[in-house]
Amino acid sequence: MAKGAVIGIGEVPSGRFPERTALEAALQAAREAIVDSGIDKSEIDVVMPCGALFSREFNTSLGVGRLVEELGLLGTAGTNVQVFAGGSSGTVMLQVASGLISAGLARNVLCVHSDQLGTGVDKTQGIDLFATVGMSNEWEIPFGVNFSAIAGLITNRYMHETGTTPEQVAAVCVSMREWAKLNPHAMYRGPLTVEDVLNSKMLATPIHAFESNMLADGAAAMVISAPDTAPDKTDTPVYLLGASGRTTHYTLAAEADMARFSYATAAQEAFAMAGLSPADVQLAQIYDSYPVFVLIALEEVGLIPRGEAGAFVAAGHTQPGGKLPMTTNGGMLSQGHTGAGGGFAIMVETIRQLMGKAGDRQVDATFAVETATGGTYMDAHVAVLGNQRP
Amino acid sequence: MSERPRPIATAWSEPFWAELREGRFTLQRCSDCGRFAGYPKVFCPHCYSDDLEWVPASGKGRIYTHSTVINNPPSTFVDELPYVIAIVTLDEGPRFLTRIVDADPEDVACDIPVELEIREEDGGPMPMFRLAVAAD
Repeated sequence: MAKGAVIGIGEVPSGRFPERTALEAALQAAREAIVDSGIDKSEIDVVMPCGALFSREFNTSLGVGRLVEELGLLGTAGTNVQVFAGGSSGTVMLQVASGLISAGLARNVLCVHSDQLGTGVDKTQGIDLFATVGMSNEWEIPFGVNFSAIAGLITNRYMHETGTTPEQVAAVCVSMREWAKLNPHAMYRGPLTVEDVLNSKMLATPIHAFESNMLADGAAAMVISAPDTAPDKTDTPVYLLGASGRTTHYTLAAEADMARFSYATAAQEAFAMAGLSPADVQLAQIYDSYPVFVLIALEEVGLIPRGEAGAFVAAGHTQPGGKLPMTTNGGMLSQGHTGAGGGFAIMVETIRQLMGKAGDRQVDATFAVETATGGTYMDAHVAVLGNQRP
Repeated sequence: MSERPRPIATAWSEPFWAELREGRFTLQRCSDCGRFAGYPKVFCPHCYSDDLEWVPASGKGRIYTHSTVINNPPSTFVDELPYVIAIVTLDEGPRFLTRIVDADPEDVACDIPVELEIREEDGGPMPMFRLAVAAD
């Protein structure tokens, strides 16, 4: 049984756009999603903005109805409610919206993310923001940890347990770039080789600069409706068929298994809910931010045997034309990291592919699996989506 | 250059830092269920008992994982590059994020033994670790 149906999506290009405000980007993405959905804007009864990290003022305005007013929804929108789960926000917002619809508390929910981490903060502020955002000011920050070191800690443990090589880790970045070359919304579209990645500046062992996501400006939106009536509104509904997650830490030291997290449990539950198995999906939209999360998720979700994801990616199987298309927008490593929007963009790309609207990078897929994680990889979320109901 | 951030203690974690200032590394253990709380908690996160007691820890453990910060650290840590961040599994069970001090980063590896080294920093002591002298 489908939990919800996405009927419209919108997105602006990611990158550095100093002349484009986060508000303008949010409005452009939201209008595009509403127009794409085929419904009248007066039928939107819940507006659900995500959290924005670059500005407390902008973030607060989203929580108190700014988008409702700017989008001309005064008096027709019933509820404005902000939902934030870090990098998992896209998946979690789709779950929350689907729940409201399933419960009869909403008909059409507009989810919007916008952030301006590329140009809305200066370089030192940006490094410091991402050194500390979400981390413990008692047990983590005073030791000088930052997100590159967090990724380094996880990557080293994963490599220690699986024997994955630096070249295989770097190959994830190449796969992302090969897809980004086909994505006009991506921040980085130039050539990239494994050698380029391994020759880039070492940030925190074993993480090189090109294995670290790039902070970006960006915005995206989606309209979620009821599965049973979605086909009356659009020719291209995409169904949320199953979703589950596990939250496994706040401080990284509390993570029970840093080479697996809990993707396996989340995936088993999500696939069971969908009535499908990993063998049924033709598309893997895996959250990246750093390459190790891709390798862990590919294995734990059940797509690749444990310890073999690095070789699988290095062989090119996840690139355009490969047997398992993966993260087809280029991920945060190439499309850019827009805060909670990195995962939101991967969710929107999942829907775009299943709608058949992915242009030069369109793949042939009926069912897809999407993963997300937030904070210092506090959670493992898995969603199963399809353009058919199994 | 602004000063590096100091741990911001809470009312329930202050005894940990007070003991550390006296050279002792302590852990909260629940008197009801017997389990450790990890870093200090308001009440036992396992059984919700209020009866947490402070017990001395061995100060011994193993490196669960590590990363050496080489470039682009938080701006207040630039002067300390390079430095080794690690997560250490204490012999008692809980894990802590920390630093490995006085070690060649090339010698730092997963699963090797380490020992507590309380480092006096500006503003107070920090619980850090060094590689154990005698490997088993």
